[in-house]
Amino acid sequence: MGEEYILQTYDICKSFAGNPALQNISLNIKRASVHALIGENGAGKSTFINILSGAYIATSGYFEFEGRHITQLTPREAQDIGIGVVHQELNLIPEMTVAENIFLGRELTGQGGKLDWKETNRRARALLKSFGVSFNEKVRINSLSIAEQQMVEIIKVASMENSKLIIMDEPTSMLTEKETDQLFKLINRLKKEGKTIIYISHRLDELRHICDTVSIFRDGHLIYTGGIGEHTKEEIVQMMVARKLTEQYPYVKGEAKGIALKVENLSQGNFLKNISFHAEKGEILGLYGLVGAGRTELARCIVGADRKSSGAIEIEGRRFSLKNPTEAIRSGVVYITESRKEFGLMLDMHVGFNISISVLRQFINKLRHINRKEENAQILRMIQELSIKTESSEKVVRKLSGGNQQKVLLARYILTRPKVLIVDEPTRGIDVGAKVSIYQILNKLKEEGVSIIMISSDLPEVMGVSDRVLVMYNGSITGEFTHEEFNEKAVGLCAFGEKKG
Amino acid sequence: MENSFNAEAEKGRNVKVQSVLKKFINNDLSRTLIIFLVLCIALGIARPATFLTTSNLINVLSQISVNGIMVIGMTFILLTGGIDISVGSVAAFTSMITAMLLVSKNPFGSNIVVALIVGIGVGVLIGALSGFFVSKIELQPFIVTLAMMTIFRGMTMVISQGNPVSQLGDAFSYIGVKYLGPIPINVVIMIAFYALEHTCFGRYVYAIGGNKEAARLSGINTTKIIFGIYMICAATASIAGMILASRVNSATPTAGNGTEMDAIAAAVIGGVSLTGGKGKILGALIGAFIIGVLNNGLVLLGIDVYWTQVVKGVIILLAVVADMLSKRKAAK
Repeated sequence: MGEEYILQTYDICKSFAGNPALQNISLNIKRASVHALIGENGAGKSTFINILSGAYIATSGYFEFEGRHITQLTPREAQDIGIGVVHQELNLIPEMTVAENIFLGRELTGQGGKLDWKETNRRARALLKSFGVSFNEKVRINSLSIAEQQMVEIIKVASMENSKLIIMDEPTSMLTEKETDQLFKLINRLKKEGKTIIYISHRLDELRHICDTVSIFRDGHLIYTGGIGEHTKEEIVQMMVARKLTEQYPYVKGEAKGIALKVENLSQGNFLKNISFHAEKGEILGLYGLVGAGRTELARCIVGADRKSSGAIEIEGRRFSLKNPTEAIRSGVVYITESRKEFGLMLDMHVGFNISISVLRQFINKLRHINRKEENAQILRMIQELSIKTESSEKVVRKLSGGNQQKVLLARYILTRPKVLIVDEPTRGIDVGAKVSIYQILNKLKEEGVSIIMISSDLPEVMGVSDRVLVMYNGSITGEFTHEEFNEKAVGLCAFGEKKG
Repeated sequence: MENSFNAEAEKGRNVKVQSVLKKFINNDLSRTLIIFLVLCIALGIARPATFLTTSNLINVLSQISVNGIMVIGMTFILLTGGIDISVGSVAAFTSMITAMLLVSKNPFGSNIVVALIVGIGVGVLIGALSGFFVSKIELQPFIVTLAMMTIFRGMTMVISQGNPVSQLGDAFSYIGVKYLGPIPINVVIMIAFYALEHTCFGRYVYAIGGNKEAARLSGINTTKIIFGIYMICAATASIAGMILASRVNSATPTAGNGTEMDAIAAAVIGGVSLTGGKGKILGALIGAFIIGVLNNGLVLLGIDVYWTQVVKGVIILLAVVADMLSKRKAAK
């Protein structure tokens, strides 16, 4: 034992605030192999590698690395025993040179603690040469392309004296084909040197070129582990998305009541390419896709939170050029952000403050005085209608649960009486019960004739709640499905770039 | 039976009193007030003959009026998470302009009302300039107002050639000491209270300080609001400048040097958070009173005037630490 496998995990579980994110993950990783982890967003891949790298501590379970029994460790300890992570966000310092970055945190020093630049540069040069990259060790990181920066990051992790297991979190998400090839060569080299690689990716096609084994995660469970060649792409997608509809989706068939929003040829830089679609009054339009497909960018462009390069927007047949969210809200289009804590709520303010902030003008009199009585009446009405659990409207929002925070945000925008309500991942990070009540709120608005666009990465949710679904991939719409056409496999394939046939 | 019932009720009452007391102590505003009162009582005991005299208290009040006005505009900016360190220079520049108009031969310009309006108007324009760079160009407030501070201290020197402008006329000095001092501070306080507590504008200021992007996505025109508060702050700085000049009946090029730090210190002592979204005008004002009484008290106690700075610094540190501790406690 311990020879064949470098890492074995035993029943690793992890919960966040009582919500299970990982359940009983027992996985063996072969020495000197490339092992892929795939799954939808939120399937638990990132949580899993965060436990291996010491960023999270498992709720229960343990793992054995090189025969060492481990129940918890710090990121520093993970590094010391030989687990290195190449993160999705690059952790390089842009103003420093390649050599400085590679040896950051383990600087080479000479006598008296003086930094030995000569030796640092010499070693960095040797490393770059051995990896066959084209840039030299003295250039600054900010003058390199993203792909080259990715290389530096990988070389940095791979060159740690004792790194034995290298975890790469979506390393190709920003790379071109040619750059990807270069990366694969590098990975093969590392493998030959006896290093083991855990590789996370959304690009199923490329896994065949590089991986030996694949593990599929779904809803925090490990569904499958096996050779990459044993299944077709379709079968793998099926395993990633298929699941029983155990959760309740209170679907009510919507009645389309005419076009509310029409978007024509909307583009934004390289992110969005000629997007055209419409949303009906009285329907929930699901907008499905993987993270990075451009869904949030699309929504932000529509409400003028970001500038679009071209394209036209019509609301109920009238053309609008919405320059900022203020104008969008006035015209009846609102966007509820996916990051409710960063961009949605004023966390240290009261529930009431957060609910009424968008409609304060409704309550002012001639002296520009806010009528507190009227304001409070509306606030209390929303708290009751959305059954927000809070002792009073004066409670600080930070102290509410995720589901109730989401409801506060919904309340704020519902008060503006929107014609089009764009909700971005409205149920992310909230428990099942709260999810159902969010769906019910959306259904009620739908019945009132509001046009709802729901962005989500959760396929069962999208199919369970929407009347119609648009799928995005890489800044374009790759498919449209009516409720009757819903099919997990077909929708899933569109999200991976296949055009709907 | 009855006894135990009474005991129970007694206990309940105690708990209630305790919780009210706890709430009072945990409230930033009341904490600042307690510090202020303790300070006054201590001075009253230590120097009953000098501290608690009408003339001394009026003296303290008039000394506070400059900082008291400045801190109001500053609080608006701090509430949005910004900062304005140019207020001292703005005060000097605008009061210099008013002073030069007053002593000028131009019959229209030397009119006291015109001179005041022009001076304060120039201040508002400077505020608009800072507001433009902070809100439209999205530069850091500290850097923008550092530039403004330097530019307008320099401009004050340029227009005055480094000389003070004195003999501003009885009218200016008289209304300065007798009316302008107490009246504007009252007026400005009232307007500020009204604006912050009762209008959309005030809510938006807090919303921006609480979470700027969230405020923008909520439909608040954040650019416009931020623009506005820099103008307000410069206006209060200009009014403070006028009071400063009228008290000595002279505008000096170095007037208001360091007052920006006094204003920031007062706000911080009064529980205004430098990260924005938290604090009250009243707290900031009490902060200004604490600094004023402290200055006065150290003089009365016969302590070397140089110690004032040291004590002020220590109090700022204590205020921030207390704020941090209460935040940590609230987080639990």
